[in-house]
Amino acid sequence: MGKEVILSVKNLNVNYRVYEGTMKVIDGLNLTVNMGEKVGLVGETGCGKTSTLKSILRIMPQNCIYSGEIYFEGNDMMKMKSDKMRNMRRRNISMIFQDPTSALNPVFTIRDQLYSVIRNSIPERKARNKREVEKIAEKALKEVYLADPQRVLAGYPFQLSGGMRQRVCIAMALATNKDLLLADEPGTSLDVTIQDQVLRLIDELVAEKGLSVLLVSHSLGVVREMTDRIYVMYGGNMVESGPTKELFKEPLHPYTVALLDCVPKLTGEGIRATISGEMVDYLNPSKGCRFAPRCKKALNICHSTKPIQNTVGSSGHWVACHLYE
Amino acid sequence: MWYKFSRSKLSVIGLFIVVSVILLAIFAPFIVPYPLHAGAYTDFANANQAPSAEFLMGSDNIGRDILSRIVFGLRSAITMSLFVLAISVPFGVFMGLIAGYFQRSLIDSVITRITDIFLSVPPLVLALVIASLLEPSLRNAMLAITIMWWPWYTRLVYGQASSISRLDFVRASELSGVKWWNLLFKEILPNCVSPILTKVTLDMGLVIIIASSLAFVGLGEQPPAPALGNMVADGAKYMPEQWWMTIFPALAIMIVVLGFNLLGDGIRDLYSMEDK
Amino acid sequence: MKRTLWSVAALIGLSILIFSLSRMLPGDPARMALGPRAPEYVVEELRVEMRLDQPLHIQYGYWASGVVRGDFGRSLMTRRAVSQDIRAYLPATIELVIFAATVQVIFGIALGVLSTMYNGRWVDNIIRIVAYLGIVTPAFVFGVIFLLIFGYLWPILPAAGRLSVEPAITGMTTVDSLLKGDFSSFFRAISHFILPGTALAMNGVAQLARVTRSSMVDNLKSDYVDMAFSQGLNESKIMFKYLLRPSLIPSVSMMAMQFAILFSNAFLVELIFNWPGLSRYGVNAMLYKDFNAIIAVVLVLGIVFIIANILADTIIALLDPRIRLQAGKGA
Repeated sequence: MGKEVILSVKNLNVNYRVYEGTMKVIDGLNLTVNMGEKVGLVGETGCGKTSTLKSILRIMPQNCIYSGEIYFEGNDMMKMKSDKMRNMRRRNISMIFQDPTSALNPVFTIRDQLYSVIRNSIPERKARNKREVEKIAEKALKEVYLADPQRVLAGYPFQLSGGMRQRVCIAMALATNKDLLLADEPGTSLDVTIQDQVLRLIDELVAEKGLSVLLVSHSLGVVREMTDRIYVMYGGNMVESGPTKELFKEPLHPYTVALLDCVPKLTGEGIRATISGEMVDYLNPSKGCRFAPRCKKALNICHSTKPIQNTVGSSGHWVACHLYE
Repeated sequence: MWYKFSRSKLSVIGLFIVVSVILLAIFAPFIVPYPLHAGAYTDFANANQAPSAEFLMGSDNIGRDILSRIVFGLRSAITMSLFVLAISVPFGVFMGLIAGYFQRSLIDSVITRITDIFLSVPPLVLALVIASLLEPSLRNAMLAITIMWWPWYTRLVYGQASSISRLDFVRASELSGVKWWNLLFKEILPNCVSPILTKVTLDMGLVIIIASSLAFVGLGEQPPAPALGNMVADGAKYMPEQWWMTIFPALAIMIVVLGFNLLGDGIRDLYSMEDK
Repeated sequence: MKRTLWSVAALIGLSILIFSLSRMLPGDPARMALGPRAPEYVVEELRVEMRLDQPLHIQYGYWASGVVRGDFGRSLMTRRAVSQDIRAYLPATIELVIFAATVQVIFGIALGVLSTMYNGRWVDNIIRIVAYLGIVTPAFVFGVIFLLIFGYLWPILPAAGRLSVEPAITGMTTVDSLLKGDFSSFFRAISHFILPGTALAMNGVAQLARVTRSSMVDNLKSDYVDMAFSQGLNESKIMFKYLLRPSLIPSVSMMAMQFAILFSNAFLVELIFNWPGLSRYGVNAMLYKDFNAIIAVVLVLGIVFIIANILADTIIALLDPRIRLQAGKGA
């Protein structure tokens, strides 16, 4: 397509060793983000969205085994030495965590936490200059519309409201120039109006700074407004992907269809349907399509064979489902 | 339940130690090589023998078999722990339930202040003091430890009971006319079982430590009865030549306490897994 | 503040309890003080002097008004004023306990951190096993084993008693020798501490290592540690700054309890190592049924307990801004 790829994940597998055995959470996942593109990753809670983001930054817990290739601007981050990886985190990739309350350290001031991020990601000569660091910090806080930066800096996380904490987290992620932003359901833990403000803020800053974005969400509504392209994920597998507009106009995979049915419409119909059935059993996932046990249109083959990606049309829309083979 | 428990090897080892010690305690008179040596027996011809086939753990300064005395010592340690906990746990739990349920009432503040008194000095000190005011004996040592033990359970249950009794379902049952004692024992108590059970198991070991400390100082069970703490103290006088007189009883204490601790941790893990 | 007042009230309650127990139990304190051969009229005189002929609450009133003036009565055992005895013996115990507490803090926290850094590997497993053994072993067993190994089998350290530094200024040998600038006696004084102090500290080292480890391992999974990693901070900075500080809060509140336990275990350890401290004095008083001395020792320990709690609260407030700043606003 000629566009420059900034991030590409190839054949990612993530397993967790737990008490009962091995959970095969992410199973051969592929994903790309182009330069300047805003990509959404949608799926229900527990489908492996956060694991995907964390493995991109290689900040997985100890009981996690993962493999695959993750290229950032052409370099495989999976093979990087830890100090080089650390530089990637400092200079190139930022992440916004789901819950700003638990993501900020409760016993240190905002100043302490924000300064240490800034000091790490700017050249050392500048980092030693306190005024310089302070200037960057104040600018970052103003960018997220925190009116009184000095008061915020002096405070501890528990002294701020949820919305302010979320803004601080965004400021930490975007204080210095980065290339890629990973956003893990920003604002989900806040109430709806504040969540909306937060998302608009991220959208605005991303446009201003020309970042590429991988936005994770369980809500198609959120993703629709903010992204150019969407991946739909179910139980650790990608099931469908395509440009946002086209996916909403013509959803193909039964899971995507069901997800869209869950979104309340403005026409006043209310929620039409819910998806019945239970979450994927990661300890013993089925050999076929992981959605098959809950799928109303499942064929025999769906339970035994994994579907491949079938391209539909010319805009890059594809679906992994036996119904379209 | 057993399947989950048995997944942790350490808990199984703990259970094994506890069961074997209890069996040893019950059948002590039939198992030990020299049952008579548990009392005021003397055999100077065989005094101060190093461990051998005849005396597996050696003999003491008046010719008594250390192994036999350790087994009887374990027997009295276990009996003592059981006695102390059998009295202090129900009493302490009941006090905690009442104080937690009738929060901010007179009963609450009276019970809380009384527990404060008992918790205002380190536990061992209070046990030592009470034991010394009474005549030193096994029975009085048990009494002393019981008196200082219950407040810990009151404090443990108090927190649980007060938070549960504020929950809606308890308030709802109250409004529908359920009597408070029914609520206490049928709704609130079952919610405190797992921390209580864990603490009881761990405390079996702790009571043994405190009791043997009392005996070590001379304020517990009196000679010639074989108390593990006494044996360690006696043996210490004959160190380093008759090291077996000290080391084996000391090891015995460590092993029993280890058993109860492993088991207690196993029980705690079991409940915390079920919570998830 | 309120808590401190309540603990003082609890201490008064405790003194009433012990006082009444000592007076109500069978046995005549005056007769015990003078021995079985003293003539009856002498015993009677002492009984009046001790106010044993008056009702219990009046006896307590006299005793309490004495305590307020710093007079705990006379010891039956030493025939001196109890307050004098306490002044003579307390410094040795405080010095020993502070030594042990220092050992606990340094080794307990260091082992906990080490265990977390090697989480799941053999270093961690060894530390956890050793800590477990440390918890199940009573202090007096440690004392006896140390005495056997380092006192007899491989005698490299002094195993009994304590250095005496003349003239005593504070009564603490290390402080006194430093005040005089006498470093060789300072080091000899320290060497006397190693065996009893370490035996006393072992339990707490184990407990502290365990608490520190489990709280650090819990926080290691927290979002804020993940976030610190995602921002590319140095691993050592995360470990020793952003992870250690919040994780130390449970360790510090445990230290207050441990400090109290140190004092009670000192009762056993001082006996083993023949340490001329308050606890050995207390045990002897107990064996002798020297009531005035017993109550005094208990009260002194109670006060130390209260101070330890205040100290722990202060340190926790320093570590945890949530407590520090809210307490400032509220009570």
